[in-house]
Amino acid sequence: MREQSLALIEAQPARHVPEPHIPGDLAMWFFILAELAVFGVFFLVYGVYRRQQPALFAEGQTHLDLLLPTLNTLLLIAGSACMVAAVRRFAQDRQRAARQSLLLAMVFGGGFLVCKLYELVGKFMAGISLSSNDFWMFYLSLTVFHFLHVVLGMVIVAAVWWMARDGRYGPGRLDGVETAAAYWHMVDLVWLVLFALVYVAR
Amino acid sequence: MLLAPYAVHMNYPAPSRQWLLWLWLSGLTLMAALLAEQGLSLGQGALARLVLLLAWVKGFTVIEHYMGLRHATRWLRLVVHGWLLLVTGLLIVSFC
Repeated sequence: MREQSLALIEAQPARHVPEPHIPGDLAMWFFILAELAVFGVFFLVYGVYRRQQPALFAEGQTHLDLLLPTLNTLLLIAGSACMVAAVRRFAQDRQRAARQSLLLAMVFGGGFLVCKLYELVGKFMAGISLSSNDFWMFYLSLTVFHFLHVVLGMVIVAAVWWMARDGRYGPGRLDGVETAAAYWHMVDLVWLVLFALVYVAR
Repeated sequence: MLLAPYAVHMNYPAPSRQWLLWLWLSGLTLMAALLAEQGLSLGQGALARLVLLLAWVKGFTVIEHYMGLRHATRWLRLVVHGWLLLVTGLLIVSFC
């Protein structure tokens, strides 16, 4: 019986089970973990302050329009989807298609930056500053801090796009692209929590 | 052995799955925004808890499928999922 079932298992076509693998550079992952820790503390401190002044935070949130940040979430998700497509295409040595995905990720990232800038300028024009109150202090510092991370993500993706022009990345040579993608996804991941907490959770 | 480098793309979702993941994440985002716009009378803090739960679901998807950590070394997968669970979990509690 046992031999029979073993024979059956062997008769099955080998299914690919990927080896445990760290996507990209380990040093980048330590950087990502440090970034996550900083954002995590930031979110939790926000949570503590909000709990102490729920009315103040709720009032502040009524001045936040949901349309732009929702669009921005969709843009970052689309950018992440493009990065996944880029890595897979490089892994298949589809150079042209892979570089197009990187370019499209930058278009979505650029869209995010434009919308965010528009939103922030509107807030500054309305006379809102870091010293307005605790809600606005958190709103401005969190969103500006995140904005800078999107800018860095764009720079990293642009660098990978530029270096990919002569076929530097391909099957077995994915480290650079996987590293850039990991950073981009981290920026996306942090935004998903920020969007829920600052804009939607009322 | 020769095939190993070519197998790495198996760690990342195929195009059809990429579209599904994109739809799933975008759909959940729109759902959260619509829930908030409706201004449903869900009771004190219930909307906030629901939206943070949705953020956890989306974050879980990003970590597993976009970052590709479902195929990663266990410690890394645990640390990143632990971060998300801790942050969203404590925030949900803060709205109770």
